[in-house]
Amino acid sequence: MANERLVASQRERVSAHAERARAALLASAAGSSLDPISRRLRGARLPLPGSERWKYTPVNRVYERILTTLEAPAESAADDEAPPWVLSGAARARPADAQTLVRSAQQIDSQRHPIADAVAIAVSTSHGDKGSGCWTIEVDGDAQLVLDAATATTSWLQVVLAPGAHLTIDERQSPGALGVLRCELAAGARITHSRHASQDRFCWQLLDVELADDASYALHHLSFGSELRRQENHFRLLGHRSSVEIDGALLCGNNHRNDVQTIVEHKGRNSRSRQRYHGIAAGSGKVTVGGRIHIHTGAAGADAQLSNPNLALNEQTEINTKPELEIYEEDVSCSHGATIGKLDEDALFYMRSRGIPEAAAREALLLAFVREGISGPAAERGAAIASAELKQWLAST
Amino acid sequence: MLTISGLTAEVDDKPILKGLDLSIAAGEVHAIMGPNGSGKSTLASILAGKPGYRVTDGGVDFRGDDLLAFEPEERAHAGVFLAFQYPTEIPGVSNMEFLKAALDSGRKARGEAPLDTPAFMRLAREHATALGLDPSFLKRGVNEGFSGGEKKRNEILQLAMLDPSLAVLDETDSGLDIDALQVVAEGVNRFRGEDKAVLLITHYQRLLDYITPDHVHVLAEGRIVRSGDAKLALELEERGYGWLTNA
Repeated sequence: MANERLVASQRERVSAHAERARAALLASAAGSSLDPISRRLRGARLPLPGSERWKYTPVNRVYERILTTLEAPAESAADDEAPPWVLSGAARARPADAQTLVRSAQQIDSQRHPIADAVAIAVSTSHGDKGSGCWTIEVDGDAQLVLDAATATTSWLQVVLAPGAHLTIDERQSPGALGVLRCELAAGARITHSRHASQDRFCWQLLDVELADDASYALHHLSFGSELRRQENHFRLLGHRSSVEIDGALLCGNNHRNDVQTIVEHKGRNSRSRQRYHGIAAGSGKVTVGGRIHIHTGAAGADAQLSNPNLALNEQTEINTKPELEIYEEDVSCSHGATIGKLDEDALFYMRSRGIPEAAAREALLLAFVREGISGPAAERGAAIASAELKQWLAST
Repeated sequence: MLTISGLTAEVDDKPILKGLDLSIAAGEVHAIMGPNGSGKSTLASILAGKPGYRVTDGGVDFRGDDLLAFEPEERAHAGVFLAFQYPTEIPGVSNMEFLKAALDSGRKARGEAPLDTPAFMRLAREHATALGLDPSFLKRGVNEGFSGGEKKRNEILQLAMLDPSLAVLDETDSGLDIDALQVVAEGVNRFRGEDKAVLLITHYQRLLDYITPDHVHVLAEGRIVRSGDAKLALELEERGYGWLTNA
């Protein structure tokens, strides 16, 4: 009973937090060009802890971050004019106006990603009279984009690829990021995206992607937990034969969190998706993976797979994995699997029996598990990064 | 080199070894044979330090040291090598990395510098070729997707590379066709030497057609019940174990 009262009281407190964030967001958007987003936010219910998609990560920390951004826009804007990325190749970038930011935000499923509307207002407010805070990047050939969130506390990028264009994204996240990356891929366009997120204080980010016929997206990620790390991914395979391939390793130690929530919607015929996440939790770390595959009517021939093997390195860790399938078409192939286990004791003994000390053997086995999670062109670099950081990470957990 | 005295051990509170005595001198090859469940693999696991086995009495002296007091990696550094009956697959760790790490760990324990990569590669290719293994095999994950024969050859490759003093081969002949058996046996024979010792654990006499033991022991009910020379293995092939275990 006492526990129920405590939970009710916590919910009330956080609910008040959400309301305060909403009120502050609405106040800062009042009279601006962000009316459509404000209206949507006014009618929406911001998520509370315990709600299905925020069961394991404290959403109140996101509200705190948003409030901080709103309360100290000048500081958040950081006076520098340099955008948080470097672009090269056949691409152009320009600052977008508020209408573009609104249109970009309206493309996002606000039921699934209600925080995105809040971030749109926070991004715009934090940039004050320096612009909407949104940038548009247009790619019509081969191009490279290096994203480095270290230079911005908030960011909104709208990336548009022309037919057949190819963009390589090299993403390095750093502290304090509240960000949205929206990508629209025309027919035959491709994005190869390597994401490396080291141990930071805070990160909420949404990657929202639309793919036309024959377009493809490959996302290879390596991320370490932080005080709060929440990555939301939403892929809409609208075109026929469009495809997405996601793989990566999620590591989390200390009292950190590493939460990845991915939705893949198959709408085009013969579309294909592969998701593989290798999770490792140490210390009191909490790894959370939500993977939802939604196959719409008409997506005949869709082929979707999701796998999520995890290693729990001690009894204090927490791993939450929730694969979901929603299928409205008969002629499809769809599978998912998730496991939680310990480090293979037989493999550990095998290595030790050859003279490899226990700590080095553990490290090698963990690195192998991480490597197995990363594939594609990022694999080699990802493995090198993992190798360098794993030692440090293991020592700190 | 190795003296096992009154070794008594259990697994999950079940007694397996019940006072086993065995002495192996440098330069000797000993074969231990015996029926299923007699404790052969338990003996191999205890010598290598596998967790899960509890020694309740007796001891193992290896070149003057109490082997049982050592961690598994320390036993390897001291010169003990176990060729596994079922070598473990380690996806994501290449044979090359694994061998280099094992070799360098041993060198470090002896106060030697790590082997430089070109010298290591030369050594690895040389030994792999001698065992009929394509050098590309070194790039593959440790035992990952290997056939039974490849796994056993890989064990012998590790034996050759790590060059221990005592090799314990736990049913290395199981699952091998005649050709693979010959290759593995040649590898073991190359290893033999005045300062080396081999403990072969096997069910069948056929391995002993290729590796001639100096001594053959029959293990039954956790104890050595008969010892003899190579002829004992032939007798066992002919008569089975019943005449010894039922005696």
